[in-house]
Amino acid sequence: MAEEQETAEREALFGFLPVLAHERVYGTWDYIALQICYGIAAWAFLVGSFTGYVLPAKEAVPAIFIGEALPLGMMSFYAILFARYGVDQFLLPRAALGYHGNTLLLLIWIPINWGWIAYASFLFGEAVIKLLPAIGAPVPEFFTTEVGYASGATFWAIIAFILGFIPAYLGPLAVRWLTRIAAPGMTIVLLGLIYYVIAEYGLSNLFQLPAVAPYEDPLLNRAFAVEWNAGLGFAWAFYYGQWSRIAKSETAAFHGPYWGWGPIMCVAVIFASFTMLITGDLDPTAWMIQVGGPSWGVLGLILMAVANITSNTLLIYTQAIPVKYTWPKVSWFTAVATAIPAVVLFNLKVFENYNVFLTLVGCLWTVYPAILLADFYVIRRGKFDLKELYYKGPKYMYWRGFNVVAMLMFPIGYLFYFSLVDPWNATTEGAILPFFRYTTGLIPTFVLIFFLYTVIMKALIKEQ
Amino acid sequence: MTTSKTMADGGGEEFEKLLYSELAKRLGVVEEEIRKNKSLVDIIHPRDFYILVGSMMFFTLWFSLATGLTVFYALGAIIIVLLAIWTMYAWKVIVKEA
Repeated sequence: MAEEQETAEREALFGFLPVLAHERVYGTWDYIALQICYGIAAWAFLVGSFTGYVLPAKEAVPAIFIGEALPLGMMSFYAILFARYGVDQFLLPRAALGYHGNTLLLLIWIPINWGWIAYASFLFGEAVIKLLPAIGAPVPEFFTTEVGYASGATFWAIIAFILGFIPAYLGPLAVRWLTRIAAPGMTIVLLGLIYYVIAEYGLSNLFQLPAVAPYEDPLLNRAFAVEWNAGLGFAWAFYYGQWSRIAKSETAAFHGPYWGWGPIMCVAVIFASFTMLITGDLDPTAWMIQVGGPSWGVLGLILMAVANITSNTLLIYTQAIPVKYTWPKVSWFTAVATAIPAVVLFNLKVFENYNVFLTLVGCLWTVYPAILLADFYVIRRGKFDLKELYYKGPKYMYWRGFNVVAMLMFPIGYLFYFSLVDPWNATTEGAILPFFRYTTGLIPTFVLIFFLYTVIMKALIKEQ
Repeated sequence: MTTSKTMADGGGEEFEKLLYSELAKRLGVVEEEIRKNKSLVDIIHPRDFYILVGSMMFFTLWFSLATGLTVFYALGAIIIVLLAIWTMYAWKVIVKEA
């Protein structure tokens, strides 16, 4: 009997079952540490670099805060619901999207998550190939090469993946210890780096540096900077429930993502924008030695390496949980192993097109939280029938398992978004709607979908 | 409880039977807890919303004003208003009406 109980509790932590109060393992500080490890990684440094590319420091800082604030301020609320019911990110959305609609979205999201794993792993690779010469390590030349699959960067990226894979497989308690150690260390190194940069270059000098390659139109620079930061902010939309379900209180579920992905991650983004302004190099690993010198530079590269391993762990675990929820009979190892195809993306070309990835998929994860927030709060008012959701009962079946209204929001969102901006080329030339430079693209898309979904669903419910 | 053992080997009918019988038990517990206490865990306090949203927005506004960025100031102000409305609404729905 005791063994059965233990099996059930482990199954709750590792998979399919609702997690009860006594089984929750993440307190507020654990959760903040976890989200710091999530936030301070490849994406924060890359978005910061792009921000510094188009904006000087005094404009970059508010752009970063504004860009991150709106998505997080809105979405942190739905973390509470996953904690309240103790269930995964991909269970409650069945109520909004329909059972098959939700599975379809999971199948689209998994390759996107591979993209995030690729960025974290490859930045680790980039950090190591620069760290080795910096410390004078006697290694064959291959281990410091960058281009192509047969390169040192790809090799080290695979190592980062393996190192991230192991704690993810061991589960949330192993992850908790990893993040308890890594988060304070990463925060201290990051603050030290910022202090070093300010002391070395002077705050007033930093604030006088021009943007590296801005657009001619100053409004466009601000709009793109907010856009990329908002893209990162909205990107978290898929990553709440997997962790909120094991939070010991709703407060913990709320604070973790807010601090980790909010102000603390913003520090990393701001640091990256400053260093971009100093060096003019888009590759975050390249500027560490340039800006930090041999001592702080090496520490900075170690920070990037560690940060991306912990992020990998979190991304892999985050993917495994919804896989177990959707296909509960698969083994835990199989669920975790669904992250392995990400290895195909460990390449310099993928790495260099980060801003395209961010804005393109950014639209998808802007529509997703807009639908969920409207549905969870305005339509369903925070109430769910878990039995129906688990057993796929008629209440949330909609049309053959798809909520057509929710599904339609995705093409509508994309059409609207592409009528505002061309994210492939980061330009508004040829845009049908001329107000991107005032509003950005993702924020009005979010607002449009939120209200459109609410109005249509309310009208349909009234009619029924 | 340790996590050193591999979990949920999945597969067989026995596993599935155990899983769904445990699920049924737990759904009963969740339903009861939500009905009685609104949540499986301690419910959130309003100060959590206001401190966090307020602090981040205050910084953005302060910085925008300090650097004289009027366009950003306007955008920041709109975002604050939106977030404030949203916060009040979300609070009403998930705490007061729960």
